[in-house]
Amino acid sequence: MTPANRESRVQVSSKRVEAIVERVAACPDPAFLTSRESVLWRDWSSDVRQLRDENRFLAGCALGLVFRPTSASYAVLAALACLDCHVHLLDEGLGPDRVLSTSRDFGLAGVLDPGGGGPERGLALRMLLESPLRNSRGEVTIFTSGSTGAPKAVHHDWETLTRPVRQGCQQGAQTWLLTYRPHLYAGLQVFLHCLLNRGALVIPESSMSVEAVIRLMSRHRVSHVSATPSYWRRLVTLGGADLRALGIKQITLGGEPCDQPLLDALHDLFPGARLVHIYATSELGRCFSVRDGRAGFPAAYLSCQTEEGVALRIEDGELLVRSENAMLDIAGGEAEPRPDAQWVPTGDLVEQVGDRCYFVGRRSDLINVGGNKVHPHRVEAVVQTVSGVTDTRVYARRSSLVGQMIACEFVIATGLDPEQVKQQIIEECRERLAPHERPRFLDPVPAIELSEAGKKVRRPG
Amino acid sequence: MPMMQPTLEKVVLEFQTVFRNKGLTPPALLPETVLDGSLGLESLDFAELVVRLEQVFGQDPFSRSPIPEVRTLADLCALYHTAA
Repeated sequence: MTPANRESRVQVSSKRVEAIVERVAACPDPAFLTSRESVLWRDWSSDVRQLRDENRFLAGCALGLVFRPTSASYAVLAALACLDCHVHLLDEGLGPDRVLSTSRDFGLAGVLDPGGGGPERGLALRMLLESPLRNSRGEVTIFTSGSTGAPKAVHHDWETLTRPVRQGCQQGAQTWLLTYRPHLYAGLQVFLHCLLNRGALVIPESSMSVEAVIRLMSRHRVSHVSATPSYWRRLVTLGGADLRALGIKQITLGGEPCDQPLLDALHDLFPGARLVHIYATSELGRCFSVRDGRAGFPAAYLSCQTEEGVALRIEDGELLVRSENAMLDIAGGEAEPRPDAQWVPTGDLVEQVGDRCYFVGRRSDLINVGGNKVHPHRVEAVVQTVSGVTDTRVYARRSSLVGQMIACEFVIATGLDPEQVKQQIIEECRERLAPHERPRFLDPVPAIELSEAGKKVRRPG
Repeated sequence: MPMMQPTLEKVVLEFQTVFRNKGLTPPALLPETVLDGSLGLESLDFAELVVRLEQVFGQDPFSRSPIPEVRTLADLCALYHTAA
């Protein structure tokens, strides 16, 4: 993309947000539903316009925003977007010291904090620069969770963020459950989907138990849920029967490969629901979606552009993507050209079987056992088939003799004997896996630890 | 060597786990038992044993240089006993 092109593209950007906020100005439907507040789109829109007018002196500045799961955070974000600010979304869990050090590292003009819940709006602003530059044009920087390695600052504008959002695809009001952290790409996508389709966003607190989340879903009649397969597995395991009573119309899975047993379990719980799994990354944006309820994706996607405007190919077992929804660049890194014109390796390993492509794991997740590469997903798929196992995580354990060995945590259904299930896992793996692939260390755990992006943590133990 | 007894017991317990997880009945393990292929264990099984022993004793003599030479069960126990 030429600089002139990019110029026109980002100029469209903040006007676009302004227009979207205007469009909901008269909308009487609920926008944000939490355990503490219930805000209508028209009231939120008026909050945004008021915040925009009160903070015009921040126009064009690069700012940090401590992003909390409240309507106020979204109002401040939209107001800053209308003011062409470059907003850096900061995790509310960072703590004041790291908020400040991150903001200073990125040369931000100041940091805003909309404060915790509660009806009163107490927007706190701390300026860090006396005479900041005002050259921003409505951009957003997201700090990716970095399930592997250090977090990355990923730079988007409102065009790259809103382009993948489908509009008017379904009739009737949609009520979405936000299962992703609000300051990350996936969380932002769910919010933008609600904003552009005037749906309601139900926001659970991050500390809520599964039971409390299900009660919240029931109270606000959640109809659409987008979550990682790991999150879904936890919901299904702990809330099976209660879930069945919810009127879920659409289930979206993303962020991790989705296996057939989970898809089948969801289809069984919600026979009438649309089941969609999405492939998207913070860097590449939304690439494609699959709606046939089967794991993997059709091999036909390799030979044509997907409806998201993305081309795919497999090279050396790895999925390569050429995407129009790609971020602008990685802040703080080396100057990289926009990836939208080029093939980007995803790090996801894919295997084609007939007319279907299956994800077999991340290149960085491969475990090296004495020179043999093992895909943790493949091992998890075997462990998952043992009856009584509801969830599992396979990871590397360091070994002085062979480099790495396979370790496995597993969660069992209530009332079962962990030792007995463990023996069954050992037998199943002995039958179906090569000696180097078998988990040597098996631990029953109450729940599988998830990263803040809701994915399984893969770091070696 | 009565001093070595507790270490031997712990090492034998871990050996038995490795055998059982492999679907084998653990053989009699004595201090003079030679740790070679005749036991029915492969190199990956020994690697597993060493990780298990590290969990029990909190240290891994095989991560040190030079890598210790081990012929019998008593040799192996001595590595953990001296360091314990």
